[in-house]
Amino acid sequence: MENRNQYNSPRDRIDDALLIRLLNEDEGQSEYTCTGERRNGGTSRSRRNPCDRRNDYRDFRNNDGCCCDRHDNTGCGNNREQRNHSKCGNDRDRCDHDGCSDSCSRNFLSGYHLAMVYTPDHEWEDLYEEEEALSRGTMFRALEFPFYPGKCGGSCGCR
Amino acid sequence: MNDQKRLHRMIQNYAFALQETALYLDTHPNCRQALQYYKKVREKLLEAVQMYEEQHGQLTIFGGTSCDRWKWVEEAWPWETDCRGKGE
Repeated sequence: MENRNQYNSPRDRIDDALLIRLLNEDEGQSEYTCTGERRNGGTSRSRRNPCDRRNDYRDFRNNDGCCCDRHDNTGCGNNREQRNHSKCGNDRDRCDHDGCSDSCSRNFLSGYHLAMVYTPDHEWEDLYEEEEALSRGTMFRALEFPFYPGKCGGSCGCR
Repeated sequence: MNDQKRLHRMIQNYAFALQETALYLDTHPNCRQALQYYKKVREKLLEAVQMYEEQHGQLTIFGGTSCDRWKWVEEAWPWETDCRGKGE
C-alpha cells in the first residue's frame, strides 16, 4: 500500500498485517498467505464459523460447550484456536449438531428481551446535606461509588 | 472565604440538590418526601440568589437588574474568574 489514497474503503486502507489478523479472528479457520489472500476459499454466511467473536460472550457464562477459549471444553472445537473436538456438547444452548451451526447463538437467557436492563427501585433515603452532596457528586448515599484508580485502591487514604 | 464566595457556594449547593431531586422526581413523580424537599430547597435557592444579586450583581443573564442601567457587561467575564465561578 504505497499510495493509500488510491483505496476507497476503510478495509482497503488498513495495514496488511492488521487485515490478516482481523480476518483470522473473524473467520476462525481460514488460512492466509503473506499477502493476505485466503488459501482455502471464501466463507459464505451459511458456512461461517459460528464460534466467532459474536458468540464469545458465552465464554463468561461457564458453559461447557463450544466456542470457549478459556477452559477445556468438550465442544465442537470450531473456535479461534482450532481445537479438534468432534461435537458441540453445549446442552444449555441446545446445539443439536456435529460441529456447530448458527443455533449456537442461543444462550441460556433466551427467555428475556434483548437489551433490557433491570434495576432495583431507587428509594428516597439516606440523603447527604446539600454541601456534602455537591462535594461527593451525588445526594444519595446509595448512588455513591467512589472510584480510586491506582494500586492502593484508596486504601492508603489517597484520592 | 468571603461573603460573596460563601453565598455563591451556597447557591451551587442548593442548585445541585435541586437537580438531584429533579432527576429523582422524573422517575418518582408522586414521592411526597421528594416533592417536599424540592419545595424547601427551591425556596432556599431563590432566596440565596436574590440575596446574591442584590449584593454582588447578576448571577445569570436572567437575573434581576436595576431599571436604569444594564450591569451585566460590567460583571466579571468567565475568563476573568477562577474555576470556582463567576466573580470569584
